[in-house]
Amino acid sequence: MIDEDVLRALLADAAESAPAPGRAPDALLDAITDGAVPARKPVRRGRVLVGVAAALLLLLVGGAVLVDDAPSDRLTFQSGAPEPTMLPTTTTFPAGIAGGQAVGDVGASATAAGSGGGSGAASGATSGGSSAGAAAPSPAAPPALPTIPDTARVIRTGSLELEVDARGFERAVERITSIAVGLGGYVSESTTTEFDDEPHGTITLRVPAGSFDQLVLEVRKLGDVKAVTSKGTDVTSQFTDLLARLSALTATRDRLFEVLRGARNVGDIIAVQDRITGVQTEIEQLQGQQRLLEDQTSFGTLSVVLGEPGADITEAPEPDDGLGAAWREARRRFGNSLEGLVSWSGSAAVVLLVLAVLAVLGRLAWVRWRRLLV
Amino acid sequence: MGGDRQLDELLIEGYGRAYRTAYLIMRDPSAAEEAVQEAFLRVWRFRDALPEGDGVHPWIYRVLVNTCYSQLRREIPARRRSAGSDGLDHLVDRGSTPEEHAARVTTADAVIDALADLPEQLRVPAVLRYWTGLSEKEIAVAIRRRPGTVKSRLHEARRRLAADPRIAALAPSTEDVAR
Repeated sequence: MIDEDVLRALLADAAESAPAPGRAPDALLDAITDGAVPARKPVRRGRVLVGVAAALLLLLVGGAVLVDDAPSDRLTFQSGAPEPTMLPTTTTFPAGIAGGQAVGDVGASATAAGSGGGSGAASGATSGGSSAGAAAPSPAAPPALPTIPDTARVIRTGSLELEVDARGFERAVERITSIAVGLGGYVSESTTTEFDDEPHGTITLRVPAGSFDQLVLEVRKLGDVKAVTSKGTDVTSQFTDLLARLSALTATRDRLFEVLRGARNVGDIIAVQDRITGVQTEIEQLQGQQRLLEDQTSFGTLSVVLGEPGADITEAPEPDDGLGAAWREARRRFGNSLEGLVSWSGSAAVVLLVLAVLAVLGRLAWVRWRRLLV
Repeated sequence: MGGDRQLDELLIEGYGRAYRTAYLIMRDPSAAEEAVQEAFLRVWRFRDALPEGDGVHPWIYRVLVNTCYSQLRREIPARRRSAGSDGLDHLVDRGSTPEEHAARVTTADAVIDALADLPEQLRVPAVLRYWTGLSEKEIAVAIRRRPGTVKSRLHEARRRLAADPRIAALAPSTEDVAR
C-alpha cells in the first residue's frame, strides 16, 4: 500500500502542473465582491408543495379536456383527410397500377383478387419517378406541378400480401431476403410459421428509398398478389423547416458565445449561459427529429405477408408512418396515464384526509399534554 | 453583510485549490475553470443556505464535485478523445532547470494518467483527501456518502494506485525527497 504522504506529494506535483487560470476567474471574483449577484433565498418546502399541487391540478384539468376530445373525429387522422403536418393521400387503384406506383407525394393502396404476380410490373414500370396523379391537375392549374425535386423527402411505406406456390414458402422467404439485401436493404423483422400444413409469415423489409419500387416489383413476381398498398408521405416541408430552424439556432448560439466571451458582469454571464443552455437543448431536440426523418426517408419499409395456398394470410399491418403515428401514440398514452392518475387520486385523497385528521388530533393532544406538564 | 465578506475571502483564497481539485478530477484545464466558476457562482447565489462555521468548506466542495460530475457527463468524453494528455502541454516553467522541469512533467503526467484510470467514485475522494486536504468526514459531506464508505473508497483508491506501475515507479523517489 502506498504511503499517504507520498500520495500527497505526488498529487501536489500533479495539481501544480495545471496551467494557471485565465482572466475569467478574476472578472468573476471581482463581480462577486462587487455584489453583482443577489443571494437566492432557500426554497421553502411549503411553497414547493403548493406549486406541485397547482401543477398537478392544471395537468388534471388540461388532461381531462384532452381526453374528452380524444375520441372525436376532429383529432383522429382519417385516411384521405389531410393531416396538419403531413400530406398523405390514400387513393385506391387496381393492383396492377399500384405495383409500379411512382415515388411521389401521394400514396396508393390497391387490392386485387388473384391478380398475377407479374401483371402489375409491366404496367407500373412506366411511371418511374414521376408523380402519381391521385388528383389530376385541372387545365387552369399552374403547369409546374408534381415533379419531385431531388431534395424531396418522402417516407415510403407499403404492404403486400402474396400467395406462393405449394411447398414454395421457404424458397420464397429466402428469395425475398436476398432481394432486399441485393437492393442494399435488410430484413428488419420476420415472423414465419413453417411447420404448419400451410406455412405462412410476415417479413418486414427496409431498403433505400430509391429502390423501394424495385423491391415491390421484384417481390410481386414471387407469387400471386392478393393485395398491395403503397404510400408516400411527403415530409419535405417539415425537413426544410427543421433545417432552417437548426441553422437559425446554431447562428444564435454562436452569437451568444461571442457575447459570453465579452461579458464582464456576472449578471450578464449567468443570463447568457442560461440562454445558451436553452438554445443548445432546442438544437439537440431538432437534431434528433432530423435524424429520425432522415432514417425514415432514406429507407422505405415494406411488409410482406406470404403463405402457401390455404394459409390464412391476414392483412399486413400498416407500417408506422412516422410522426403522425408517434403523436397518436403519445396522446393515447397521455390519456391512459391521466385516467390512472385520476382513479388513483380518489384513494390518495382519502388517505390524505385521514392523515390530516390524525395530525390535528395529535397536535391537540400534544398541546394539552404540554399544558399538563407545565 | 459580514457573512458575505467572509465568503468573498473564502472563495478568493480557495479559488486556486478548488481549480486544481477540479483539474485533477477532470484532467482538463478549461473544463476545470468552467466548473469552478459555475460552482462558485452557485455557492454565491445560494449563500443564504450555507451552513455555519466549519461546514462551509465541505459544502463548497460538494457543489464543486457535483459541477464536475455534470461537466464530465456532458463534455469530457468528447474532449478526452481528441485531447489525449494534452492537458499538460502548457506546463509553466517555474524557474527550474530543464532536468527538473522534465522530471516534474513526467511525474505529473504519470499521476494524472493513473488518477484518470481510477473510477470516479474512487478518484474524487482520493483527490479531496490527498490534494484538497479534506478530512474523511468532510469528504463524506462533499460526496454525500457515509464516512465509512469514504474510508473504504480511499483504501481502495490507494490500493489501486499502489498497484499502478506508473505510480510505483515514482513512489521511491518521492519518498527520498520527503526524507
